[in-house]
Amino acid sequence: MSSNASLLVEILAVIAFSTLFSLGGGNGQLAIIQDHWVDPGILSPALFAWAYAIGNFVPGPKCSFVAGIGYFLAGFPGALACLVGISIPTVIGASLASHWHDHLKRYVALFIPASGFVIAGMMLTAGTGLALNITIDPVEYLLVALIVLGVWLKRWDPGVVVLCSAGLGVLIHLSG
Amino acid sequence: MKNRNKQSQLPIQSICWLFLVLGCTCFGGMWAAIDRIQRELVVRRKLLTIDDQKSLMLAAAMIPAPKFLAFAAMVGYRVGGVWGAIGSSVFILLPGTLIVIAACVLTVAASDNPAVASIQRYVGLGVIGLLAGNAVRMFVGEGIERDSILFGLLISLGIPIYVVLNDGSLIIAACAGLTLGWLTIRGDRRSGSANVE
Repeated sequence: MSSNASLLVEILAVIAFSTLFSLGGGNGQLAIIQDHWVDPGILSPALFAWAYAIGNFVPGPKCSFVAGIGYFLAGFPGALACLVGISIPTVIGASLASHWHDHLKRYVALFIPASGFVIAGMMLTAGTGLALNITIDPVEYLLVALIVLGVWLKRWDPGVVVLCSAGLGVLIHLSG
Repeated sequence: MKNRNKQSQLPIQSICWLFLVLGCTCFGGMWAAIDRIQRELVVRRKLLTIDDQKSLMLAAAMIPAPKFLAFAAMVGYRVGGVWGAIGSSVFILLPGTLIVIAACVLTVAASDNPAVASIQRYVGLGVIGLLAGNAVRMFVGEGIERDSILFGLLISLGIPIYVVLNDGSLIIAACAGLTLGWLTIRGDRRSGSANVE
């Protein structure tokens, strides 16, 4: 298998696997993506965050940001591999759940109480990993802390947070 | 696999068109788009009852897949079997995906511009805050029972400590957390979802 083809298979497999960690509506897949491609230096933290940020502005499911990850990793074929990767487990899971809805519900429900804690841990891991890959000034830590409090206590919309962050970036650039 | 809901079958091209329209017009995730979905699937096309819609939305949050995508696939399955599930999930993703790819292409083209670097840096900081804030929201959920706090903290803090400080495997940490949680806090009545996108 050529290196390009093996990269596409890898993208498809990692995205399909990461989809399984969306249990309970969380973004556990971000941590898998970050662990697999950002931490080893294959994908820059800025592009990873950028793709995720764009996903908050587009119509339809927000998980379409994975196409951006695929594009940054391997161009258009990479984006396509991500789409296939995210669709396979979803279609299988949704079809099974539709077909045996009542039967499967009680088994899935066993993991639901714990899934919130696990996904919280995975999201914290993704955030910490991203922070370690970016040099952050003390003043910028205050900005991050403000966003954490706003998202937690005031349920700030992700789109607004991303838009305001981008606006701040423009202001800092213009003033510098 | 046979479809159980025989009375509301749709041809595959209608399913694809329906979810392409929803993919173009629903913003803010599944819960934010609930009115738009209801208008299209329940009122206008009468594919689901309002109870069906609620039940499928809750079920979609229980499937290990992105909620909105899983909901589309479940509706697609009900009205068109497995091909309906495939068509609905692909076509609801298509509009957003095309916009994401276009934005990424433009980003790469403008990567030499210092303003883009500044914007990306601050967006990166915003995303770190979003991830940490959503992690806290996910942890708290709809309220934690006292007995679950200790094990919940152990799982939620143990995963980043093991992965970041000890350079451990995230998959092993997540699977260990799920097993520990299943053994210790399965009696907890919390939903596990805090509607975090």
